[in-house]
Amino acid sequence: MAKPLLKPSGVPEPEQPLIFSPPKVKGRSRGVAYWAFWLNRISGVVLALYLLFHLGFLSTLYQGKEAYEAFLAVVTQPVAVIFDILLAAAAIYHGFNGVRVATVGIGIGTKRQTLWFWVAFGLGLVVLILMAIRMLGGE
Amino acid sequence: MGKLIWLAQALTGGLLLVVLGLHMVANHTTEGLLTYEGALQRFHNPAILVLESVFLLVVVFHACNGLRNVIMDYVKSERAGRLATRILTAVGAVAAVYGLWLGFALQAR
Repeated sequence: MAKPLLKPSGVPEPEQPLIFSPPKVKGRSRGVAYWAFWLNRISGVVLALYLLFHLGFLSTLYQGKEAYEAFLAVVTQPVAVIFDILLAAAAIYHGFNGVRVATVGIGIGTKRQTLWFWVAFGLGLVVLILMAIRMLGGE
Repeated sequence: MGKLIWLAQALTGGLLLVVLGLHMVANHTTEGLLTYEGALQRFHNPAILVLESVFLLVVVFHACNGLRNVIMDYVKSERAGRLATRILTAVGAVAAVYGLWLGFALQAR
């Protein structure tokens, strides 16, 4: 087993050790490492902020039937499905990429990080498409 | 300390995959949440209440620790880093306590 990287990030290249830190970009090239890292970071921040909103949504349930139904009237609008799908995309990407980052961090798959990134991305995309079909009312 | 924080983030991330999956199945694959009575009824189920409480604690830790990791990449001084840690700890504690209280308050309805 390869030597573990103790601070794994979304960076696929093994020569870039700090995974919590932004990947170094050489020249103008912004490859998979760069985008994997920033997508992971942005999706994480979005999900963290959404957590606060989610607690707020539950508060309407505590406030009573009228408040909850007013909240439902907003979130059951067709356009809200788009936000739900974007949110699901963020969660799925963060989750699948997170598994890759964690396994690389404990020393598994360090030499094939780019491949594992695309595997995680592909699996996430399949899950997202299935969820989106369900959200849009298909079976 | 850095290793422990990283490990905690990875472990809570893994746990979240399981708990979030259960949360989605329990709450978002049926029509129950689309009525006030149906949504309230969820919290009368002790298994749901336990699941939501675990989910809340794990996700709050993972979110606050993740935000801290982001901030630590940009703050230069140790003092600013400590301040960020304290603020995020406070925010996380408030969110966790409020969320737990809300769950039990809804169960009592």
